[in-house]
Amino acid sequence: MFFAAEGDTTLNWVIIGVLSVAVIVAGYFIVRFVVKQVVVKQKIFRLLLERKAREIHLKNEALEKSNMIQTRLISIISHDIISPLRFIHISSKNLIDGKNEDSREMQEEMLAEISHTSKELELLSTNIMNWIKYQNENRRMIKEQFDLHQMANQIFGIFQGLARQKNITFKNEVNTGSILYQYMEPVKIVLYNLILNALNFTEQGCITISGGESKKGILIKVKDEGKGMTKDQIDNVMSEHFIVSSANVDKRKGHGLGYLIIKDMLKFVDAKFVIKSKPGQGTSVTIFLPS
Amino acid sequence: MQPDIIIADDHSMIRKGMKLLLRSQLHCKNVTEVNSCNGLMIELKNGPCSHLILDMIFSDGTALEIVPTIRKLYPDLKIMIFSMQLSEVYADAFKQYNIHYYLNKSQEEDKSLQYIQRFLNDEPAPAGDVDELVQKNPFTILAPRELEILHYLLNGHHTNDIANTLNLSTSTISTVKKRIFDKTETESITQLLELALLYNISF
Repeated sequence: MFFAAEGDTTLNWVIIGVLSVAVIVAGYFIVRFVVKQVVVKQKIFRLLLERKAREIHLKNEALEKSNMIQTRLISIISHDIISPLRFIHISSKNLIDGKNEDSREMQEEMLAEISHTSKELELLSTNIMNWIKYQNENRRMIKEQFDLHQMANQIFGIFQGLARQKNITFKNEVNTGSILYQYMEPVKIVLYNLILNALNFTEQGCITISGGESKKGILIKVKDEGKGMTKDQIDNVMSEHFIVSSANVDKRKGHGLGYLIIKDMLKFVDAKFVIKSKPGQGTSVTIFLPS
Repeated sequence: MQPDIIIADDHSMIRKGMKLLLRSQLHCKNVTEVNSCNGLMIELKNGPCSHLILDMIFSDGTALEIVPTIRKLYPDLKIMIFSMQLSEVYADAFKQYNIHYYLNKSQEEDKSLQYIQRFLNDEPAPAGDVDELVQKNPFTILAPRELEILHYLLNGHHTNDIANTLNLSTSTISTVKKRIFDKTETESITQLLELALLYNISF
């Protein structure tokens, strides 16, 4: 009995021992599982946090860029709009008061300058308005049907006067009746700026628009026979950090607003563009709009 | 004696307008126009002139960069700065090159004419009014070299580009950049831009 009892006790101890080991092992696994869960959760949180931080950083960068552009615009308005306007006023007032001693030649020179400057001011103001209009991110955009050939002619019309002065001809190589289904206004603003750029950097020759629909989207090409661009200038324009180029070609002062607007507009419509150019051999810019 | 005047400005409307004013109001017949720093240097080399009306910012540089050379080559040339930039910030920088005339482009027409008249007659420039607000403009304490580099910083140029353009070492540019930040109590280009906007420094 005692022996048996003793055996029982031993058995009991063994059972208790085995049980406790089982409990410890189970406990270990449970704790490990929980810890692992916590670690995984922590990792997820950290990733989420990192992603949010990245988003905020990007937003911040975009905001800073937009701020920089706005500051730049203020400078353009003061330097390139207000002061020329002042001198248009002063000059025309002087012409009206004209104490007949101004020669006829001088008067004509002044009038030509006033007419030229006011046209430039109109173009620049239009462009600034274009840019401001699209600054609202929530702006709703709809695709429309339009005729690319007609659009090209319409834009050429705006610049006809300037082109005639510089002996530049326009060529519309878009097939008549090319109906596109796209965001019309952004496309128009981009073409407007590409042609304005081409005009500014071409002394004489031809500016051609060509393009049409391909399988995956629309290709439009604007080609000029102007000064062309160096590789550095192209890289500068394409760069993410491009704010305003101070690249100048002869007498023309490029404030880079054109490409800023072009890039902004193309981003809105998910389009891409490529510049091909060599100094002295003209420039061609091709934009691709996915359908 | 008729003065020989060169107008250096990058806007043709402003050049033509000035030329008209000089001709019709001040009866100056010999007026030449140039539109860039380079053009100005070529014109000066081509022939003598007595008076130079000089804008501050050109497509190929700023007046601050070419004035030292002009002074060295033509010590007797009379120069007047004609700019949109505030005189209280920039006028002092030009005084060390013996340029004491500084006319703001937004000045009223009558006053501008009087000022130009004095300049052409070699009469001393009228003393500017000292405005209390003006003295608070944080950019007034910048030295000429700092103003020169400020222009490029505000235009978004990187240290390397500025060093290349001005033919200086990158470490010089970095030092000057730091001094500009210190003097204006700013920490970044963004802050500097905001401050420039607030105090009407255009670039």
